[in-house]
Amino acid sequence: MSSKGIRFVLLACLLAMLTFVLAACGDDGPSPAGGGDAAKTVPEGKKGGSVTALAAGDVDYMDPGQAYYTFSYQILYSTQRTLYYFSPEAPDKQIPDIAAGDPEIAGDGKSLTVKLQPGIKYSPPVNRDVTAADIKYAMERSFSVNVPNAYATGYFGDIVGAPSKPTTGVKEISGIKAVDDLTLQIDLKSPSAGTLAAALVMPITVPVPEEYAADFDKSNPSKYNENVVFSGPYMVKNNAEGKLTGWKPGKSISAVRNPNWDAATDFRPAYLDSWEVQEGNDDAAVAGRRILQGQGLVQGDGAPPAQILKQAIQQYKDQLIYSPSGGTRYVAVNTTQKPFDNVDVRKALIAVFDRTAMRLTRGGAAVGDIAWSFLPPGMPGYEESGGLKAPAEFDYLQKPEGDLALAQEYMKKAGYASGKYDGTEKILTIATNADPGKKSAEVAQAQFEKLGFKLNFRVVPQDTLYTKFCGVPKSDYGVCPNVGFFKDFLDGQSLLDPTFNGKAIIPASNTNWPLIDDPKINGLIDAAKALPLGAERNQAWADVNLELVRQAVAIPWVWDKQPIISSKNVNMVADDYSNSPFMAFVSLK
Amino acid sequence: MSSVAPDQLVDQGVGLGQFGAESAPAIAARSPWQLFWRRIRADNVTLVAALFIVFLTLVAVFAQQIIDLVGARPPNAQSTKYLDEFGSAAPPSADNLFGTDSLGRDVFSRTLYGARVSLEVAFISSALTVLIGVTVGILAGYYRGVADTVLSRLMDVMLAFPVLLLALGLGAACSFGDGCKIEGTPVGSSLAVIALVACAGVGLSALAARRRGRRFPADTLVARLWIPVLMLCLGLALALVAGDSTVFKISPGLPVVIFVIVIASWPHIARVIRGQTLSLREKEFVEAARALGSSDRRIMFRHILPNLVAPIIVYTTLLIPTTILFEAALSFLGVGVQPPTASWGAMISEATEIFDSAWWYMTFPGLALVLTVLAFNLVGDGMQDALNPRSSGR
Repeated sequence: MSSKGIRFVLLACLLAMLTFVLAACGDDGPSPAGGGDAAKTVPEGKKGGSVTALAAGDVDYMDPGQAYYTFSYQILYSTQRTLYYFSPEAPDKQIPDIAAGDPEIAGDGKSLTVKLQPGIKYSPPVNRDVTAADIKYAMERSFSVNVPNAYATGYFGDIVGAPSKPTTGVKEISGIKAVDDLTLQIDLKSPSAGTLAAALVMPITVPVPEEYAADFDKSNPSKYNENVVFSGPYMVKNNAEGKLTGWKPGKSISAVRNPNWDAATDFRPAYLDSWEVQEGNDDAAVAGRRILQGQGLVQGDGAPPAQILKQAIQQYKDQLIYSPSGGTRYVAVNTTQKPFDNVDVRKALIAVFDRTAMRLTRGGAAVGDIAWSFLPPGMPGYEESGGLKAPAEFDYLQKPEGDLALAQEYMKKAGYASGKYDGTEKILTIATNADPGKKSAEVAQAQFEKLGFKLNFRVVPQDTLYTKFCGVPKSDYGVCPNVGFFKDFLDGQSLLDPTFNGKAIIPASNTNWPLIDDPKINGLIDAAKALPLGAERNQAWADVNLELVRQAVAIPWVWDKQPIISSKNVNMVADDYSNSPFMAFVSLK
Repeated sequence: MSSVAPDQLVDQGVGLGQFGAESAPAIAARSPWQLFWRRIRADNVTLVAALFIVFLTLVAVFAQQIIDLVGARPPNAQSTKYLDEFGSAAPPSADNLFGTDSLGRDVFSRTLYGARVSLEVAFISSALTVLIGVTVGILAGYYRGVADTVLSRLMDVMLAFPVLLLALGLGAACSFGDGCKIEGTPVGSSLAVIALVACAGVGLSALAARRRGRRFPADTLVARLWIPVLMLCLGLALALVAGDSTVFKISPGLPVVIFVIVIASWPHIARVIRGQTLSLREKEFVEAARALGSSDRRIMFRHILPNLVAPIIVYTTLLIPTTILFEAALSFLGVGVQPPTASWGAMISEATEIFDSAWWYMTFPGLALVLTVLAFNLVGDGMQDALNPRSSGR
C-alpha cells in the first residue's frame, strides 16, 4: 500500500474511532434511582463461605503491640481479642471481650481490676489458655524499643512504674499485676482509672504468650510480627512453628478459623469459614466497581471514591452502609513557620476556605457533616462544644463556602495592608498522589491562592505522607492538606491530646501536624486528662476544643462518615471502632 | 545525458510531444525546494494536516482570547456551582462547552490551555533534541575514530536505558519541591563546571587535530579552539543560570518534562545524522573543500549540514508527535506538568476514573491529543515523500 493510502486508512480509522466514542457517549447508564442511607443493622448470616476484601495497601504490623493503622485494626479485631471491645449493635458502649465483666475501679480512682473469662485459648502452635500474665506481658513489651508502639506512653504512661521512654528489652512494670491466672490489676499514679478503662479496647491488651514471644521480642524490631498467635475466631494461616504463611506483605492476607476458638466465650458470631485480603488494588474506582458488581467482595482499606459512592447510593443502595468515623479531616499549616505563626493569618485562611468544595472532593454531604472543630458528632465533648453549628464567636467559621471579605479583614489585622499575603516564596505543600487526596489538595491550593499564597506542591504516595513528610517535623513542610485523626477510644483525649499537645511533638511518627505548642492549650489538655470520666471531663475536653478553634490551629473541613461497600451476596456489618468491615460479623446471604 | 545541473530536474509536467517543436517552451529547471513545494501542494492530506497544525498553534497562542470570546471560565477556576451533590462533573452545556471536571473547572478552557503545554513541550524539546543530536551526530560521523567511538558508545548507553523508566525516575526525582539541583559553593563549583566542560572541549579539539594527522601543538590550538570555546560558553551560561549556590537545577513542571524528553530522544537523531555524515564526508564535494583548505568547521556546517536538511526536517516532524505523546504519558503517570496546570495527559489520567460517568472529560482532551499527533505524523510522512528524490510524485 502506498504511503498516501496508509494515511487515508489512518483517517478512516480515526473517523471510526470517533463514531465509536460518540456511540459510547450516548448511553449515560441507568438513571438515578434515588439516594438513601442504608439503615445500620446486624443481619443474621448463614454459616460458611468465604469473602475477599479488596485493599490498596497492607497492614502496618500484624503484631498487636505495634499495629496502629485503621486497616490493621480491620484484621486485628477479627483475629484477636482485647480486654474490652464494642459490639456492632451498640458501638458507643464498650463490652467485655476477654474480660468477664466491667472493670472494678478503686474508690480513689488509682487502681483498676479486670477479671478474665476462663477457656479462651490461643491458636496453634501455643494452644493454651489465655491468662492475666499474658496481658501483663503484652502491655510491658509495648514499652520496649523493640516493639514500637505509638500510644503506650501517651495513654498508659500513668501506670505505676511505666517508663517514660521506650526500654531496651522488655522490663517489668510494677503497676501491672497478674494477681492470679484470671485477675489483672493495674495501679496508677493519679486517679485516672476511668480513662484507662476506656483505653482497654486498644490492641495493647491483646494477650501475648511470653514463653513463645520472648525470643522474638529480643530482636529489634521484634520478630513476633511474623509469628503472631491469635486469640480470636480467625487466625492468619501459619505453619507448625507459628510462622505466618498467610500474610504476604503487599500482596495478600489469608485468614481461616482458629481451631481453638470457643464461640461460647465470644460475642462474635464468626459466620465465614475463611476470608482473604487482596492487596495492590491501587485504583479505588476499579476496585469499587468490582465490589459493587461482583460476588463475595468487600471493601478493604480506604473509602470508595466520589463517583463510586454516587453509583452505590443511586444504584446499589443495599450494598452501602456508613460507619461514623469519630474523627475530623483538616488542613494543617505549620504554625512554627511564618506567616502561619500569626493567629490572624490562620483565621483568615479558615475564613476564606470553601469547606463545601473540600467535602465534595470526597463525595459531598454523603460522607459527613462539614466540620468546624476537632470533636466530631458522637464524641464526648461534641455537644458541650456547641454541636453541629459553630458558636457565633467564631465569625470565621460561619460560612462553609468561605468569606473572602472577612478573610481579607483578618489579613489586614495580621499586617497585610492589601488584605492579601505579599510574600513571594512558595510554601512547601505535601499532597497525596491519588484521589480523593489529590483533589482535596488542589481545592486547598485554590483557597490559599485567594489570599495570595503560592504553594509548591510535593506529591507523594499516601503511605509516605505521614512516615516521611507530615509526620516528620524536620521535613519543613508548610501545609499538609490531607490529614485526619480518628478516635482511639471514646474520650476527647484520644482525639485532642496526640494531635494538639505540644508535648506530643516527636521527631518521627508525629501526629501534632500543625506543630502547635501553646502553653494555654497544653495546660487545658493536661487539666482535662487529670479528670475522671464524666460530665466534668467532657466539658474540659470541650474547652480544649474551643480553644483550639479560637487559636485557629488548623482548618477543619469534614467530620467523616466512612462509607463501606460490599457485593450483593454479602451481609455487611461495620466495625464502628475501626470503621471497616467487621469480618467476624460479615456473612454471605 | 541530461545537460541539467545535478541539483536540477526536468519538469516532468511538460508534455513530451512539445519537444522538438519550433515553438516549444524552454525546459524549466526546478530546484529541489521548488520540487518539494510542488509535491506538497499536490498532497491534500498533508496540506489539511498542516493547516490543522497552524490552527492548533493559533489556538494555543490565542487561548486566552478565545476563552474570553466564548465567555468561558479561566482554566484553573474551580466552581462547585457546576458539580452535583456528590461532586460529580457536569456534562457539556452552554456554560461549559466541553463540560467540567470533578473540581468544576471548564474542560474547554483546559483543553485549549493543554494545547499550549503540548506545543510548548513539543517545539522546545524537539528543537533541543535536534540541536544536540545533530551536533553530536556530525561530530561523531565527521571525525570518526576515537571521537566517534566515545560519542557512539554514549549514544548506545543512552539508547540502552528503558526510556519510560528513565523518564519516570528523573521525573519522580525532579518533579517535586524545588526540583533536581546540585548544590555547591558559588565560585568553586562554578569554576569546576567551567573547567570540566573546557577540558572536554580541549580533548575533543585534540582528537580532531589528531584525526587530521597533526600533533596537538599549542600554536595551532588557539586557531582551532572553536569547540572548547563553545563548551566554555556553555559552561559559563550554565554557571550563570544556576545562580548563587546551585550548580545545576531542573525546576519542577515543564523543565523536567523537556529535560527528560531531550535526554531520551537525542541519541536517535544523532545516530541518523552520524550515518549520513559518514557517507557525506567521503563525497567529492567534501574532498574538494578539504583540498581548497577549508576548516573542519566550515566543511561540517557549510558543506555537510545543508545536505542533512531533508532528514532533519523529516525527523523533526516525526519527533514532535512523539514528544507530545511522551509529555502526555509523563503527565498521565503524574510526573509531568504539575497541578493545576492543564495538560492533556494529566486530564486523561484524571478522567480514567470517571470515564463511565463523565465521558466528556476523557473525550475532548483525548481527541485533541489524537488529532494533534495524527496531524504531525501526516505532515512528517508527507514531507518525507516530498523530500525523497526517488519519490514518484511530480
